[in-house]
Amino acid sequence: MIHVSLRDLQWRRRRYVIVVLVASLAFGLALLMSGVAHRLTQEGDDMLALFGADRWVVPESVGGPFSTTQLLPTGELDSLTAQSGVTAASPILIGRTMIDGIGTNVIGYDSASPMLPAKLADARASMADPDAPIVDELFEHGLGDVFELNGHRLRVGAEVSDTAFYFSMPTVWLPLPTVQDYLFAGQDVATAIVVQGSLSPATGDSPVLDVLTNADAQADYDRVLGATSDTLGIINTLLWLMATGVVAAIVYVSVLERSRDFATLKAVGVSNRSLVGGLLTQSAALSLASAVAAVGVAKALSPSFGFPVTMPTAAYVQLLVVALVVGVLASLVGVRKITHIDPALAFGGAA
Amino acid sequence: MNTNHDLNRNTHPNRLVIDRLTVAYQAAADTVVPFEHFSLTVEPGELVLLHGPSGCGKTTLLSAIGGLLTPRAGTITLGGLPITGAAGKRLLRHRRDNVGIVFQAFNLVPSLTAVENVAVPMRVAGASWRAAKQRATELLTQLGLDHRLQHRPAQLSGGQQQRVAIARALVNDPPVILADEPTAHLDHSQIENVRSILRQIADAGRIVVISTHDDRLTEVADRVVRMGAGTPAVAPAAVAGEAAKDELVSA
Repeated sequence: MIHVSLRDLQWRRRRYVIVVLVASLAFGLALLMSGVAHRLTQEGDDMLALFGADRWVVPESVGGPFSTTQLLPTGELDSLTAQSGVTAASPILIGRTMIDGIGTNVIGYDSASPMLPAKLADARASMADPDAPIVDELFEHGLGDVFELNGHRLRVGAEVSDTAFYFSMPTVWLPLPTVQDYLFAGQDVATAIVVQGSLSPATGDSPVLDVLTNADAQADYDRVLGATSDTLGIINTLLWLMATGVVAAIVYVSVLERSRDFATLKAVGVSNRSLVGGLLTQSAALSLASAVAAVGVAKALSPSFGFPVTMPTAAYVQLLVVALVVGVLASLVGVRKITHIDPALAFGGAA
Repeated sequence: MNTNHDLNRNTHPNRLVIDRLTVAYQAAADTVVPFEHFSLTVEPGELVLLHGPSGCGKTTLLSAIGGLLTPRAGTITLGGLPITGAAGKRLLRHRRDNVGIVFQAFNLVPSLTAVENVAVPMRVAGASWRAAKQRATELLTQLGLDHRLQHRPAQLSGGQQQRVAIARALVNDPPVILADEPTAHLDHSQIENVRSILRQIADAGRIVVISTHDDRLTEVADRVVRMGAGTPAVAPAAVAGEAAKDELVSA
């Protein structure tokens, strides 16, 4: 009965198009939520990868380099680099401030460190003043623009990509002393010291230091985003339920309207199984069509977000799977109705 | 109308025997018994009219013969094989292979073309769409609808829809054709046409049982069975070609 179901889709196409549009909006928003969640995670991954660290040394008892408000003296750097297993170590200082009313990450880096991220080293090499601000491409100001940081006027010396984090908050990179001066009253401090190589076990036993792995640092980043990720997950589920409700409603109404047709088909020998198969096909086709349209919806809406939303391939695969499940679930009420239709109903009189 | 060999193709050695049939169903708090102990035998080639007031059980009887409802008591057999008591695949096979039904409201699927509507039961029976459509096209052509093959029901007149419904009933070449008020929605000229077709179908050796209020169909009937509302029915001594066609089967 798949042929009959597909013909019905064609016959009632106007209403089905409306359903597909509404469901595609729900699916599209869900896809965008997946994109946002992916973006948030990706930013953390990018930041962690940027430093190429094996270990993160942070003040004792803090969650990690991204959530801490405690700082450690950069003097610890000497004792760490002196360890035989350490090949390189570099302090970083992460601060946050408002620049032109926009929340901005400000990161101080050690310009002399062998661990200086390659993209920063390249940017420095391209600048007349290598200590000028290097900004993320999402920053409000571009190359050559002047902006103010805590009363200090600075000119953008170079732009880099993929260094924004925390909801694509743009990052301004400055040499460590500059950040210490402008944001931390000249204190010789760092948020963390990133280390390549292996640290002695005694380092972790220090009363003032903690040693974190990349997984710990990742967990710290995710902890900050935890509530947001959960919320995005809930919104996603609600949107999928909404799509299920929309498709289920139209499938059920369609079954009610076609009760006589189904009774007639049963009367001419069509089995319940065959009718149910047709309905499942119809419901799945609607749902899948909505999913396909949702890709367009998501792409059309993504520029309206304040930051780039990238939908990973896995999100598209997930959408297709969810759409199929939605299609099946949406047909269940109609399936129950179909199996209970009495074929003798076909003998009703009204033409 | 194109009379043709296809409508007259088969002879069916199946006798329809209804023996002391009682049907009852619940309507709200009441048990409705349209007829009790109803008996009737119909021979192949016979066209029997079921006459009677509304509620006397004409359509219910068609439903029982068509395997669409289960009677409370009694039996129906076709060619000696029981219809009553059949279930599952056997019941589906009966509906598909043994009976073609022409409904009062035509009951064509609105999204399908005339050809597709006719082809569906044959497709259900296992034929390919291609073969089913070919057979449907032949039947519709024989019924004078060769210029309406790709039209949907809404684009057809009542008479044309009825002919499509008749073609659908015939497509699997069943030995029994049941028609429920086949002239209810037709004008005079269309009635004449349908009446002629139904007679041809019976002449081909099929059993045709028609529920109707329309006395104009009496002329083409071999027998008329008059049913009374809610009263015990008495079986006629059914004989095909009986001289006196009019039988009162309920008191």
